[in-house]
Amino acid sequence: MIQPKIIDSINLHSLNKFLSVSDRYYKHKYCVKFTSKEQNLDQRVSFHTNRICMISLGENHTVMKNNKKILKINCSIDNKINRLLNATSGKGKRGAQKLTENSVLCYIECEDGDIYPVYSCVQGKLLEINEHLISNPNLLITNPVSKGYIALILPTLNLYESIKNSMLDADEYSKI
Amino acid sequence: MESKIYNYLLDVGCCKYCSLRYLQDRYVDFSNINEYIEKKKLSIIDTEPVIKQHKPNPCCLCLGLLQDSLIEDTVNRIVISEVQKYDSKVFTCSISIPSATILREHAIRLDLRQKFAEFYIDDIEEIPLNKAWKLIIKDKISEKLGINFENSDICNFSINVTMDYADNRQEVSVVKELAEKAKNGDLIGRKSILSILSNCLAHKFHDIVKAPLSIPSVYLTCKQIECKHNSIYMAGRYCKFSRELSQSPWIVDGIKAMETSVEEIIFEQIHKVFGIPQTNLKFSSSGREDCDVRCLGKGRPFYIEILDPKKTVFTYDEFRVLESSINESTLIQVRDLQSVQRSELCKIKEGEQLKTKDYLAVCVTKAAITQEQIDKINNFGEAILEQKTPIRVLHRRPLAVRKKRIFRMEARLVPDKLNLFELSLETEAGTYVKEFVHGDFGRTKPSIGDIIDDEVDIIALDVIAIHLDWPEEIIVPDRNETS
Ligand SMILES: [Zn+2]
Repeated sequence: MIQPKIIDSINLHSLNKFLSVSDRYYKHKYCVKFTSKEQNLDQRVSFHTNRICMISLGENHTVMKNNKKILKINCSIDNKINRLLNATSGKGKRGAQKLTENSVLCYIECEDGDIYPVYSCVQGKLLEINEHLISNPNLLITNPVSKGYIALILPTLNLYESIKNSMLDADEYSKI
Repeated sequence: MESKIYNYLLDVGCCKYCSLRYLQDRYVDFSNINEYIEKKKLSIIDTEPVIKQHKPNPCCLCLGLLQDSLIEDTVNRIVISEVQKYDSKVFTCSISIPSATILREHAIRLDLRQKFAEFYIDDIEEIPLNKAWKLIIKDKISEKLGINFENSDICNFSINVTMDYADNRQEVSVVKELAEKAKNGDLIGRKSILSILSNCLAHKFHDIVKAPLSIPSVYLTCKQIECKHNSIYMAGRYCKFSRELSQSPWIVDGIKAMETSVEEIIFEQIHKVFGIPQTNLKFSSSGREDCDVRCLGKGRPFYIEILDPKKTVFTYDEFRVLESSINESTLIQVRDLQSVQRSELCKIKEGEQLKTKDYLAVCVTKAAITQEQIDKINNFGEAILEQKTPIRVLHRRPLAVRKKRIFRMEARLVPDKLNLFELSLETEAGTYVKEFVHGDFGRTKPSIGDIIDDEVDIIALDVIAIHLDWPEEIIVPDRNETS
C-alpha cells in the first residue's frame, strides 16, 4: 500500500495563518487582581492542555506598556527562599517549592530603580524559573509569550478549574 | 534401624509413603514402593500391615495426599479435554498442600530425633511431601493424558493441584500460642508458620500442642485443578499510517478517548484468527510515536506477550495469515511476525535507548523561508542538543536536561509554499523531535528556530526508520513495500 507523501498527508488549508507554539497548545488567561491604581501588575497565565501553567506578563503591565529597561530579575524572595534553587525529582516533582496564588516568584528590577513583584497566580508546585531571564532579563519584554516566559507551575489539581475560571479570557482582557 | 523407624511410623499412623520418606533415601522408587520395602526387608510382621491396609486411616502426616485413594481421585479429576486445550506435548505438575501438614511434620521430626537420635545425627532431611507426591503421580497422569512428564525447571506447561483440608484452620490456630510475641494478622500462611516453628523450642511445642499427630478425621479433598502455560511471545514490526491513531488505548478518566489504537487493531485480529482472548495479550514496543505521527518504512519493532497460551506453535503460514488480516486495516500494517524467545526481548528495550531514528518533518515558519536559511540548516553539521524534558510531557515525566545528538539534518524548500520546508533528520534515541524544531520556549538548545533565527513550528512528522535489526526480517515473496 503506497502512502501519501508527507506534504500530501496534511491539510494545508488550515495553515493560512502562522500560529506560534504558545497559541497552538496553550489557553491564555489573565490575572488582574494584583493591579492597583498606582501600578499595573497584570499577568498572563497560559494553561497547557496537560494543565501545566506558564507565567508571563500581561500586555498592560507597567513594565510592558512603558517598555522599561530591565536591570535584573531577582529570585531571592527573602533570606530563606531563592527560586533559582528550586529542585524537583521524579514524576511527582518531589521537593518542589510550594506556591500559593500570592507567592512572589521574582522581582523585576528596572534601570530606573522601580521594582515590580511577579506573583504565582496559581497554587501549586514550582517546576522552573526561566533561567534565560537571568542572563537576558529583557527577553521578558521582547519575547513575552515565548522565550521570555517567567516560570512553569504545576497547579494543585483539585483547584485547577476554579483557578482557571477566576481569570479573564484573552478577549475579555483586551477590552479593559 | 531403618526397619524400626519405618514400622514405628506406620504404628503412629503414617502411610507407607510417609514412613519411607523419613528414611531419607533419595533413591526410593515411589511408583513401586512394595518392591523397595521387600528388598530392604522393612516389614517385620507380614500379616499386620495387611490388616491395617483393610481399614486405612488418613495418614497423620500427609493427610491422605500420598495414599492410593486420593492419588487415584486426583488423577480422575483431571479433565482430559481441559488439558487438550493446550497443544503442549509435555507437562509438569505442582501441588498446593494445606499448612496443617507443616505442623504435623514438625512434630514428627521432634519425635524421631528424640527416639532415633543415633540415626538422625544431622538435620532430618526427609523426601519433601510435594516431591514424593510428584514422583507418585507423574506416571499416572502421563498415562492418562498420553503426554510425557518433564521437570518444572524446563517445562512450560503445568497442571496445578490445590488441596483443601476441612480441619486446617482449627489445627493451625495453635501456632498463635507458639509465637514469641503476640502477632496480628494472618498466621496460617506457610511462611509465618515456618518462621514461628523455627523459633519455637521443643519443650514449648510439646507443652502447647497436645496431640500433634492425632489421626485426622478427614482426608484432604481436591479443591481445584488448574492448567497453566508460561507466556510465549510473538514479535514483528508495525507501520502506522494515520495521524489520528494512538499506539495503545487512550483512556481519559476511565473513558476511551480514541476509537481504536495500533494495539487494539492487532489484538482484534489475533483474537479473530487464533481465538486468543484479548485479555491474555500484552503489547510492548521499542518506544512509541505520538498519535499524530506516522510510522513508515519497515516500521517499529514490537512484541506481544501471550499469557497462558493454549496454542504455542505458530507456523510460517499462520503468521502470514495473521499479517494479511491485520493488513486489511488502512490505518496500520504489520510485517515480520514470528515467535521469539523470552531471552530476546531485552533487545527491544536496548533498541529504545541505543538505536538512532530517521524522521521526516514538515515545518512552518512565521516569515517566508529563504534558501539562505535552508543552507544554514544543511551546513550546520552534527548538532548536540541540551534538551529539557518537554513541557508537553512534563506532567508525567521527571524534569531533567538530556544531551542528545542530531547526526544528520537536511532541509528542502517546498515548491509553491513560501512558509514551509521539509526537514530530514537522523537523531539519537530519545530525542524529542518536535521540541528540536520549535525550541520549546528556549528549553531545547539549539533548535531549528535558533539556527534559522525565526519562529518555527512543526506541522507534520513521520518516522522513516528505526535502526534496530530485531526481530529478524522475514522474507515474503511479493510484499508491497511502503515508502
Ligand atoms: Zn502419608
